[in-house]
Amino acid sequence: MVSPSTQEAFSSRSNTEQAGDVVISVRGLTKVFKDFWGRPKAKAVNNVDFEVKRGEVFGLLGPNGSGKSTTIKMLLGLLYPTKGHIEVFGHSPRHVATKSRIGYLPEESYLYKYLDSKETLDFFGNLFNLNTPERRKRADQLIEMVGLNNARSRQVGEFSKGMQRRIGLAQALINDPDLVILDEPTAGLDPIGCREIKDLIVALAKRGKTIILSSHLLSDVEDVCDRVVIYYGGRIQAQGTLQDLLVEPDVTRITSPVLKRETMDKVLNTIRSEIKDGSVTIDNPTQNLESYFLGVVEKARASEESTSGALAGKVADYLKGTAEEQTSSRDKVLDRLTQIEGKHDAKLHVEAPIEKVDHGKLDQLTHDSSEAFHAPEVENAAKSQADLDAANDKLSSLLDSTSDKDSDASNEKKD
Amino acid sequence: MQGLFAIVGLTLKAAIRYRVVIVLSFLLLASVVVLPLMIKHDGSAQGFTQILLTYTLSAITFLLGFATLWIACGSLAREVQECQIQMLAVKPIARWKIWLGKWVGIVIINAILLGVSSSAVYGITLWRAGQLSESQQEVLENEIFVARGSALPDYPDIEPYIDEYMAERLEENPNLVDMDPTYVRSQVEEQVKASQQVVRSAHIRRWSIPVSSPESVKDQPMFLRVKFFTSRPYDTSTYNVLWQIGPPETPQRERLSMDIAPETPIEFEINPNLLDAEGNLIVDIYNDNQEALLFPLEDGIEVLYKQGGFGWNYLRGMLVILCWMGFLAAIGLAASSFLSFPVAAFVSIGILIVGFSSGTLSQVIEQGGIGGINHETGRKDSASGLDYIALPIAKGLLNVINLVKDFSPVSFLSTGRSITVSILFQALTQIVLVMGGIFAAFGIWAFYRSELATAQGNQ
Repeated sequence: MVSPSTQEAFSSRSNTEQAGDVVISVRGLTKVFKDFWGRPKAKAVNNVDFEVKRGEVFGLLGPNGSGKSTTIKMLLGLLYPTKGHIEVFGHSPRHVATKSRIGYLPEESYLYKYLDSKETLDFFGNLFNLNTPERRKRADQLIEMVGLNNARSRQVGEFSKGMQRRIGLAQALINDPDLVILDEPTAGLDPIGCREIKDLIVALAKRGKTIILSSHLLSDVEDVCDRVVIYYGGRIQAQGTLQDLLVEPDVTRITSPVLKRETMDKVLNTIRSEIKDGSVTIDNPTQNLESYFLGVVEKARASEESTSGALAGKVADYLKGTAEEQTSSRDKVLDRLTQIEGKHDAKLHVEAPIEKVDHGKLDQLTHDSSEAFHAPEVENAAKSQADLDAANDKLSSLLDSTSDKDSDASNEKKD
Repeated sequence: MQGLFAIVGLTLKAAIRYRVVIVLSFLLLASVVVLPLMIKHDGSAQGFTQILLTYTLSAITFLLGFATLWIACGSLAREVQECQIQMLAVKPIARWKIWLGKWVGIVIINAILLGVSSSAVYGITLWRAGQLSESQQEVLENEIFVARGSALPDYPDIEPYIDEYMAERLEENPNLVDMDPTYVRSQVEEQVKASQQVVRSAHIRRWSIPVSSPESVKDQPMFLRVKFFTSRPYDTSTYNVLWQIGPPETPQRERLSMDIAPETPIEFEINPNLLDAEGNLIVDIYNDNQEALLFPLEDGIEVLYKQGGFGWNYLRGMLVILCWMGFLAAIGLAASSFLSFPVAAFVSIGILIVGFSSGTLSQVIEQGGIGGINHETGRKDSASGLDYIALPIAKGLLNVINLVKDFSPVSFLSTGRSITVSILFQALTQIVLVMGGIFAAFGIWAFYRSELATAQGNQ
């Protein structure tokens, strides 16, 4: 059974809140760290304003020391603002009952080293007043979800950093939170883990959860966030949707299957008839390293090669919760990302970005004869095949060493 | 309460998995077993008790006390330092529950450790008592392995006497008006006290000692415990004292003559059924010496009588020690609520040392200030500016310390005195609820106000 205060917090949300409701409101937030004598030492956050709406994946972006973590800690009531006002679900960040709706993954593993995975989740489940069967059920599902099935009775202190992140993520979700705050969630994770976390973030957003993601890894934020604020020197330098911030309105990009030479010539001639300054670029798209790496791993998995590391399972059933029924509005968020940016499908398969190529080469392609058009293609194909082979070998060995590293790390800790 | 119990469980798990409980158990058991083996007693019941009960229980109290402070400081301050506390503070559990959960956990750890070590002391004491001579075993049975009630003479309130006597003195000698009134009053007080406690040479003084439940002591052996001083410092001679005990002019009145040494408490058995009709024990002392004998008001003369068995008394004694540990845990947690681990440990130990220095505080109060004492009068001639600050602080601190120090289960058990349920309740109230509560209130307030994310994790 859950406590009355928790019940109150849980029941009030479903009746009154809808997509688009403000979950977090920050106004004029300032944090000045002071020394022992009360003299100002550093202004970590300076007059920051933003709002986070229900169902959003909201990114806090900025270099190290820009004030992201300080902001998150003020949102959680771990630090107190020097000036300004914060509301989380309409309450102060220190309101105890509100905390039952929040899941938090800190930037480091701050877990108890002497507890094993199950005990860790059981302990945090207790703090949310979950009854024993519910705690057990959720712990089992979460452990499977974060891929720690083989390490459920190992103490957290023996875990590699990646495994600690996974159990940290599991504890952040034990209460089926409405608001998930993730501080550098992919830090210390291998590429598979990073992708799994990003998939999970999208899956949680689809289920109506509000997510705040702090990271200095631009790709993390770009892959999953609806809206971002960019910090520098404690101030917000830019904020808005990714569409608003990233789109280049004066440039057009066309992507199509490989065209015949004649068709290409026609297209180029048509474009050249309008654009004379040679700024048209054409290239074969390449997939990014992450996608390629994941493809290699998928193949290895398909051939049933074993690993001692973590393998994630399906999203815990209870996380679907009631929000599952309300996913249509959240789906729009995903749809928007998919349609506008062309990056997401339902499972967040990141499409390879098309990289810019050498302008000289493009000039040749666009102005020269068919020979000039063919030669680089053949050369590219040969080079690309060689590169792919080399990358294949490198990544296969990387994959082996990743699993080795995990087991080595845990062995070292044991020693 | 589920969250609070989870914190209690976590504190226990930490102590067990970091092997604190195991190591301390071994350390305590070693001290309990090894100490009596290293120090041989003289074969007397008193010597046996001194080593088997007093030393071992004191060692346990000392070790547990320091361990408690250490664990309490570490339990909270380390979690703040290593940022684990952040994981608790973002969960729906009030900070006072986190604090209280840790305190309860530490008290349970203490209860386990105290249970193990005190059971060992109990078992070893009873087992080794069988190796003493029969007469000494009998002494043990009557004086130590028993819970004895205590009765003190019914002294009148001396304050009105002091006022009256002082007025008389001032009337007789107007020059006294020019002297320091505090000094004059203290001198008068000493004289009034002396009139209550001195037996002059070749004089008799009578004490009437009321026993609270006369029916319960019927046919039971009773003991007189006396301590006196003479005007000579470090006096090693003995003095002949004649005792007449019981209702005057009755056949059962007991007469004794004995040579006894000053400054050391002595205890002797007297006949049962010596109380008068009102339940008072009348004791007349005839001083057959050239020197006056002074029996202090606090512990000059005392009647001890059987009230209960040793087992339960011992258990209540251990519970009083547990109250102390609860108090120490509150000090440690309060300090670590706003200080880092080493500083919190230092501050807690500092508080403990101030607690142990109650003698110095009493001396400061008695002398009327710090330093510059006139050795003839034993007091300061005139108070300095510092004394105006130091004296009230010393008085306040002493009052607070006495709330805790008044309970001394080890000395009670070593002298076979009864630790009644009311004493236990009083200890619980004064030590845990009042004193511990003050530290807890401060600690919880400091913990509530502190920003828990200022520390950078150093795992």
